[in-house]
Amino acid sequence: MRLFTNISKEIILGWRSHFFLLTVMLAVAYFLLMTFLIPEDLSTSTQLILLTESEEIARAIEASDLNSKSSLSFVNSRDELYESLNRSFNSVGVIMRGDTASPSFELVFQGHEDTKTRELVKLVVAHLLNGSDDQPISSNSVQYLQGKQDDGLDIPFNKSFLPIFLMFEAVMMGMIMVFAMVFSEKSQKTLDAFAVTPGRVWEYLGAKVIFLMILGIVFAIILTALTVGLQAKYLQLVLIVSVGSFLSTSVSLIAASFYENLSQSMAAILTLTVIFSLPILSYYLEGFSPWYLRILPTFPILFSLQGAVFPHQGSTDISYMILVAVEAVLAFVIAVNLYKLRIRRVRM
Amino acid sequence: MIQVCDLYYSYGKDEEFAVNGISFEVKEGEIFGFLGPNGAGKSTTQRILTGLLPVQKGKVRVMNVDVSATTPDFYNNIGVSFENPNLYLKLTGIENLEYFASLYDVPTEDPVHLLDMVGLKDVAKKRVGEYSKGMQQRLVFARSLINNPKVLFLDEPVSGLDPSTSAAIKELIKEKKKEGTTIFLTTHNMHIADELCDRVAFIVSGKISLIDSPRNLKLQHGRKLVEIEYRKNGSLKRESLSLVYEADRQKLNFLLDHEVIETIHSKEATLEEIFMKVTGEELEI
Repeated sequence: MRLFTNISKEIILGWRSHFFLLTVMLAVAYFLLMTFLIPEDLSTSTQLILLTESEEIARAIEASDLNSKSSLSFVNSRDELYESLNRSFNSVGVIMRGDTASPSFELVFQGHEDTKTRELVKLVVAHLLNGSDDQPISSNSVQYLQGKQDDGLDIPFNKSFLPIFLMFEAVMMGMIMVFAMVFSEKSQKTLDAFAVTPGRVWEYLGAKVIFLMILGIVFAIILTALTVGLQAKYLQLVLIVSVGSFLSTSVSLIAASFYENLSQSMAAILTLTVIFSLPILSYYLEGFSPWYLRILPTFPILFSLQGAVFPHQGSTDISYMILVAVEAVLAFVIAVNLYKLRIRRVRM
Repeated sequence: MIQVCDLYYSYGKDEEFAVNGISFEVKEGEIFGFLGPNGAGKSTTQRILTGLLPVQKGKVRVMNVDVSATTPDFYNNIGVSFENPNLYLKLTGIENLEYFASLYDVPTEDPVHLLDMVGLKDVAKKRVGEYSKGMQQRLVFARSLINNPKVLFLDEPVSGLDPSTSAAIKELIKEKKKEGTTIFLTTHNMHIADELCDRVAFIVSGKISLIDSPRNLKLQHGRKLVEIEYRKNGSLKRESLSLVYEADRQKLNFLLDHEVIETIHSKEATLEEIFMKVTGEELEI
């Protein structure tokens, strides 16, 4: 009952401090950012513009079944080739001569390409003319240890930010907001007033944790619904955000107990935020997941969020969250004991 | 109701004691005034008695409970009014009282009734951030009564209040005493202490100099003078006469019998004067 009234108090205070409005606005702002400012496709593949001076070679290329054909375009004259090159910054001209037995080609670069790109273009053109002996690896020999379910639906580049935004705002929202809440109460000395009642410290702090969890869930549902609609696993998403928010808020409560005001605690806030954000490196650099990133609780949170919002791409296994939940409970117990010491009382 | 024995407290945990070996007892139903200038150790003592600061050395029992090991039940039976208003500024007056009432395991007072008692009923639904400091102080006082406490700790309860509000709060304190509540009153205002307290303790630099009732203190330390104004030959005259010296007593009787007396006052020492005499310190009011 007391926990409930503490939660009600936090919700009223949060509502009057416009926390809910800010959360909704933030979710919409992130959606607009993903939709209008981050491109859907960030690929910078080079377009090859082909001028074939030999009919035999042109037929050979037309008959080939190369994947890279989609990045080829054909022109009929040098003037047309130069015009096309002027229009497309990432294009390279290829003029082909001779016959299929002894083909030759002339490459027309824009001038900004580095050596790596130039060599790559040479290889592609050689591949076009000669074919390749490389055998692709059988897809049956690939085993995904994290249960990756690639059904061929690639996540657009802009939407790939969704799990990151969810981790930053829905899960880690509590980290910064709880500092603001705790220091506001410290300045108003309301903790002293609470300390001379039979109210328990765990109820007082638990209410803050649950309030911030609610804000995180509101943010996560709005942003996910706007971004991917009904394809996400919402129950799983709510569970991950709840556990993640519980952990980050509890860790912040521990840190906040050592400081008297927001300015003193800025270094701690920034350090915690940076450390908890490090798993983003593994998210974008596939294969880069050293032990010091894997031990961070936000590592399984981030990849579980990916699985919840992109069930066809990420892992849907959320068993790792059990460990995060245990860590969250431990952090909360430490926070409660630190606050009990702070108000100099030995009771729960 | 409250027993304090050889209590010490140091914020730096060194030999600079904010509370330096004090001992006293407060009886059930008594209003006990703890008087001293700012920084004397009054609020520190109250914070120890309410469990907000630990007992470093000495023994403290409130309602027969060792305050080093308080239980939630202990807090069901005490009320604390702080010197500085510590309220949720974004909640209304009634929401503040309702929230704190919900924290107790014992029957609580009706918040509306309490707001009415302290003259805040009309602004019950206004956010506390919009209250004046005096209104916030009254709300803090009302909050301390929410659980019908057996022991009430009041830290400067009328500080910064206008005279009429101050009088209303004093009446409420007297009513609580009549109901049997034990009251520990911390103040540097000697007039309040004089009017309300059954006994007072003077504390200076963490040490208690003296404990007694205001009446006894005045009798022991007062000068026992009478100030008399009378008319003689059309002009107003004023004299201070001792009730101890025979010559002055005879003159007083003569004036009463033969002159037109305009005013006559017994000239008792004030608590403030006694405080200065006993402690050698001045109060900052």
